[in-house]
Amino acid sequence: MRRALVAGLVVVLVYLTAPMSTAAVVAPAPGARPVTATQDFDQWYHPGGATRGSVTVSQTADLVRQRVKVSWEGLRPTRGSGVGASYPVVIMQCWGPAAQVTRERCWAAGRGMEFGTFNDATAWDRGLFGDFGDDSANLSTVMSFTARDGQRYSWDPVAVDEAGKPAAWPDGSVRAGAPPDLSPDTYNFVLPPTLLAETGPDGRGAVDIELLPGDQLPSLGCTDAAECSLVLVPIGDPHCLPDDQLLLEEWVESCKPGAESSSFRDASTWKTPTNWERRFAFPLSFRKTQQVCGSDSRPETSVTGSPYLAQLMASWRPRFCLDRGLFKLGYTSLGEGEARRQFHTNLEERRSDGVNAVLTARSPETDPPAPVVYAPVATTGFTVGFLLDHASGGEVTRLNLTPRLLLKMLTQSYTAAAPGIETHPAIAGNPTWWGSDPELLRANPGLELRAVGVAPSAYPLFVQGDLDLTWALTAYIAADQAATAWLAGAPDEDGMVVNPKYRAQTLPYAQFELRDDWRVPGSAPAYKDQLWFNLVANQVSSVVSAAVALVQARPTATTNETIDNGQTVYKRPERQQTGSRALLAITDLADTSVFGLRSAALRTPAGNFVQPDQDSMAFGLRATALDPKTGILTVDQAKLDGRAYPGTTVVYAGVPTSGLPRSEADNYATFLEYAAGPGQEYGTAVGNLPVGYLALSEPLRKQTREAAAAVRRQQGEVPPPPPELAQDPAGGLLPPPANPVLDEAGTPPAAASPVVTTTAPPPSSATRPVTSVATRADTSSFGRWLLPSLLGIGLLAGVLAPVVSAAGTPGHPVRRWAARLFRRGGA
Amino acid sequence: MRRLVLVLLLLAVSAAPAQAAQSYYPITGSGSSWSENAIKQWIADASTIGLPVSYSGSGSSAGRLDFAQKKNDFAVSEIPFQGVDPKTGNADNANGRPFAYMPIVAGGTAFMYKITVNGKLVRDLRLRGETVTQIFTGGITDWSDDRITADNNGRRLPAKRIVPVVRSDGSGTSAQFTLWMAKQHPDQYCPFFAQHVDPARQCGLTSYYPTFGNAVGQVGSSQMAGYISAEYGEGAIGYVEYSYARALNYPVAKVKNAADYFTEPTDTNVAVALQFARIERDAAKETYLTQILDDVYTSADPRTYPLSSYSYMIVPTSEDGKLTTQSGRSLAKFARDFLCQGQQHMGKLGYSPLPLNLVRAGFEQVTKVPGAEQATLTPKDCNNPTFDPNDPDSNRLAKIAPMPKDCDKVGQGPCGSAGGPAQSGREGEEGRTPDGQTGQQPGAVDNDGDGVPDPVAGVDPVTGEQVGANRVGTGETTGSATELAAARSGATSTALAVLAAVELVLVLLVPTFVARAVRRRRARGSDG
Repeated sequence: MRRALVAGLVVVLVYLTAPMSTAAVVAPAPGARPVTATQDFDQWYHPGGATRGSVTVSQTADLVRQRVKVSWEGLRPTRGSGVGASYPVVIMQCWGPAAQVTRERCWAAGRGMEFGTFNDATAWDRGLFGDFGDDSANLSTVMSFTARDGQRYSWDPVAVDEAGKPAAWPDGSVRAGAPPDLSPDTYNFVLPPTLLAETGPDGRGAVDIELLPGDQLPSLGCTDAAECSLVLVPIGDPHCLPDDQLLLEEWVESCKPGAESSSFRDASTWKTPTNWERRFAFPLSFRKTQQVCGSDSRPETSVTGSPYLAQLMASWRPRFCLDRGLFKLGYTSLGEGEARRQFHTNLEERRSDGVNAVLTARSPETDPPAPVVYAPVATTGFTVGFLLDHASGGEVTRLNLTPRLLLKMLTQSYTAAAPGIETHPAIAGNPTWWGSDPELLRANPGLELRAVGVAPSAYPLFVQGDLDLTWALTAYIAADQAATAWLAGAPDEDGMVVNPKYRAQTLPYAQFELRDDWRVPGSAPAYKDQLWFNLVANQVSSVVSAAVALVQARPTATTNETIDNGQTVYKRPERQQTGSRALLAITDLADTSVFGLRSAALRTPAGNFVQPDQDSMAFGLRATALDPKTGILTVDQAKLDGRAYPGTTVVYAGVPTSGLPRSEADNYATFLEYAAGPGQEYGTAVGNLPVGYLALSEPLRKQTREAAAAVRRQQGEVPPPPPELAQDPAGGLLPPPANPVLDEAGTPPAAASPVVTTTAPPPSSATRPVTSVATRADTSSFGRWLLPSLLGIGLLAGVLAPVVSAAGTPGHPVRRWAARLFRRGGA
Repeated sequence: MRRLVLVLLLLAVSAAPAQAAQSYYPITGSGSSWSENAIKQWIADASTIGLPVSYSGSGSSAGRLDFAQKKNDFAVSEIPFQGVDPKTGNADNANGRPFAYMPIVAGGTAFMYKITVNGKLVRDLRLRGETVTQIFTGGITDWSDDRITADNNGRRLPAKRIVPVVRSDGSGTSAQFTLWMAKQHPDQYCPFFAQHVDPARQCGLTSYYPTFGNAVGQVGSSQMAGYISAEYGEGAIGYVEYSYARALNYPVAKVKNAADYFTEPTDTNVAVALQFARIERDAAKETYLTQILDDVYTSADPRTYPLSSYSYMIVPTSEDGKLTTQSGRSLAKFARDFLCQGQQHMGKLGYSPLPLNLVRAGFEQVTKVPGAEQATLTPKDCNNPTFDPNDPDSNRLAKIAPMPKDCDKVGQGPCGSAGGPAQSGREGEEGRTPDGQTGQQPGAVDNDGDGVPDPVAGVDPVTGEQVGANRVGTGETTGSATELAAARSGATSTALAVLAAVELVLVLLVPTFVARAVRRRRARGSDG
């Protein structure tokens, strides 16, 4: 008995210590830290070359729908480029624990049978791939996909019998066609043609992959409880059957190491048993799914306006509907200008489905017809998001931008390499895009970007519409002397001039404008007669679309010239490939942060470049001016010091304090009380303040609490902002202002004004009176000069008439005198 | 001890979360850009209940094609499947995929335009249907045309070329617009159709608007609105859903209805108009719930906006290889939510909410989607803003819709312009200042050197009143198109210049040569 036990133990021990599969699997690491795996390759991977490779994933835990960066070294260099490249790298998301991942659990295209699998030394699995019963037909079979719920799909279109069942799996276990959640939104796999991952000659490479949680991709069903994995397959040389067992002569050649034929060593060979064994598998763990609202027929109480708060509302709304002590909160994203207009109209009409509370970042231009209190809800800001690759490979992690650079992009002053640009009246000598602008290179020493195909990248993604974001950005630009001087027509140090269509444009403005109407000459090879600057303008219709287009690296300019039904049509290009991405987007910090995008550092009047983060926004709060009529703070560009982010913005809810129905008034007051308290807790749970926002300072919270009380009372009072706000708008977020010696960052205080003075702002900038739209003076030079010129002509005629008549009269004394003069000269 | 364990267990069970929200399978859709602003709002609302929806506004034709190719779970289109597209000749059907139509939102196709006078936008343009048709078929090419002037009660716009902007992609907006032209103004439209679309086909709608004359093509509603609002969009006029113009704060033309009033596509006017829409009521027909708008075009209610319509969602009604019961459940939930609570936002966004009878019909269609959960429509819980509990079959918005102002009537107005019909081309009228300005604010000055015009004090120097107070609307200035007394067209100026030069020459030379000739004759005479 004891002997059997010992034997059993020995067996168990042996089993446990036996070598696992040669594939590298790593244990999950806590938190959002990079994880690295290393492994040795088999002898056929790269004969005479790489034998050990390592792969690093930037984050494998606490994941949401986001991009992660995968980088590697020691892999076999890719030969060629694009779809037919040899030895690329394939990366995909799969379900199930990393140690047990199989090919059929991986979410990836490229599943057709190819020669590498067909001829692999390990026989291919006929259950997995399906079997037509005839190997020549089997060359066109496909590898099935098994979803987490157990349903198997053929993924690719396959031959079916009369009942609709795939012929290759006669037992009917596989459903023909793709899983229902396969769509362009879920093409996250790094496989050509969608995405490419190539290894450089030094054996290194890097690429981003978007990871999808279970609610976006149910076939994988990745949640906090259901494990998933990230698999990287380095493609190497095939390990074929012995030569005499290969059916075709050309296959013998192709199986040789380093052979020319790419079909044995391209991305679709990720599923050959040989390549599959070389995989790196990383366990992924996703964040617990957010709670969401249940089915609910309560009427909503809505706030309308500022797109700055879209991410905040996505976090707060589920919290509000789940908590019976709160109410069902509605939100409509609308440009602030339009929202304010509708709000004012509705203060008179009082329709229940109109705008009853507005979200705004600026004071309205006209006084509202009923008393309205403005209460701070959150602090965030505008950003210039960027997605750039160095010319030498690798992603750019920091970008410095000056106001004049931004102005150049907003005034259509780059040529975007237009064909026939020489015919443009003014800007033919300007750089083709910001990436080759010497001003950018001076602000970013060492930056080098690729210059291929710059037309869709020459202008940033920008949002059409009447937005406070646009106003804030152009106010930042307007405060810069170099920018306004350039706008007035002075060339910059390198000779670049502003597009004359924008010369002396009035800044700031609330809507971006397109003004240049130059057309590509008809003699150009492409884009004949097109409004070039309209084609290359990267317009989007909403702030979040700008962030989405940036994360997909897909410009919205219509620079793809195609023929459709006999007509030349201009369409949007496809995604930019990793390694040559270059795109900017003017959007907000909340969307940039949620999508994991980087934001540019903007230059302050002190001369240094500041990135948006909580500290710099807190300093930005100190640099604000208060509108005494509405209590709204906006950044006073002249007061910015070297630590403040120029794009800081406080977003307010404007709520009427009289005339609201009782239940609505209570709901809005509850909303404001939530905003003043629990809503400002940072975190990722529903109801928290998401990443990309700065919690309200103490004075701002007090302002909101007082506003909430006034809204609840509905007596028509508009409480003034608390006095603490004028003393220190960032109270509670930053230590109290100290002596303006050198601060920790080492930058000297701004010469113009002390760094930390927060006395009441000077009256001239605070009392910004209500004005009508500044009208442009109109002149008519023709009208002015017509009469004088007519009189001048008459005078001229009068003067010349006697001279001419004298010349015409023979024997006239003047004529004789003149003739004598010439005769003296002649004779 | 056991009892304690039992009690603890009970407590644990009762303290469990009240409602574990069920997750929804993600769904995708594509199609109309006309409806895109509405759909984006509903997608944001759906995400709060954990229902992921993605939508691509690639155009109605592309959406219907995606549906036929089983690439999406639902399509959105302004028009039903046509059978064959008249312009391209391609098939336009569901390719055997079983489907049903469901109305989703109503709205007006608006004519967004850009005409500036003295640097300010004209905001009070009105047009008859015939005029619109002629503009978009090349019959009228200048804004100063007599027919446009007549529509505006004698107020003449400056001479400026009209640039019609049309959709170059397969668009349901184009289809709705051309359908209206074909039905209401065939005399002008049908020859155009025969010449540019298809001479062999009977005159009717087209989703691919042909380019002609000065017309410019743009892809998508957003691009069209962007073009018109651009600086080079001067003189442009295009057709988009009202929300696009509103978002950019651009004006739309008021269109004349059958009661001789000019109206805008506000949500109330559209609601009034669609009371006259005939809806296919035969549930057995494939076109069940599609709209017949002939009576909308000719409705005699003064508030009607003639180009009102609603757009459809095309939903699958079987497990067809793309839709499963899981995605069907999501689609049904999405639809029920936007048919009810989702309609609350439509007025703000520039659409018009669906009336309750269409919502009821929509609920019936949703039950055909496989996987749809059982749900009955209780109007009280529906939160649809058109619902009036005392009169369930009516549209509350249509009832509260205000009557148009008198100045919107033919022969009066136009509303919003200064002082009624303008006198153009007459010298010395109305005491204008010599350089042609008409009572505007003083020019901008910049005293503090920051490059930005100084804020002007809030008092209007001309009227002495507070700027912005007691003004109806937003207090923004609009361009009133009055011709300057001193203005002349370019051609006239050139002619005058030539005349002046000729006169100069004559003044100098003629007397001299006449005198010489006279003298010579005298000399000859004295000799003779």
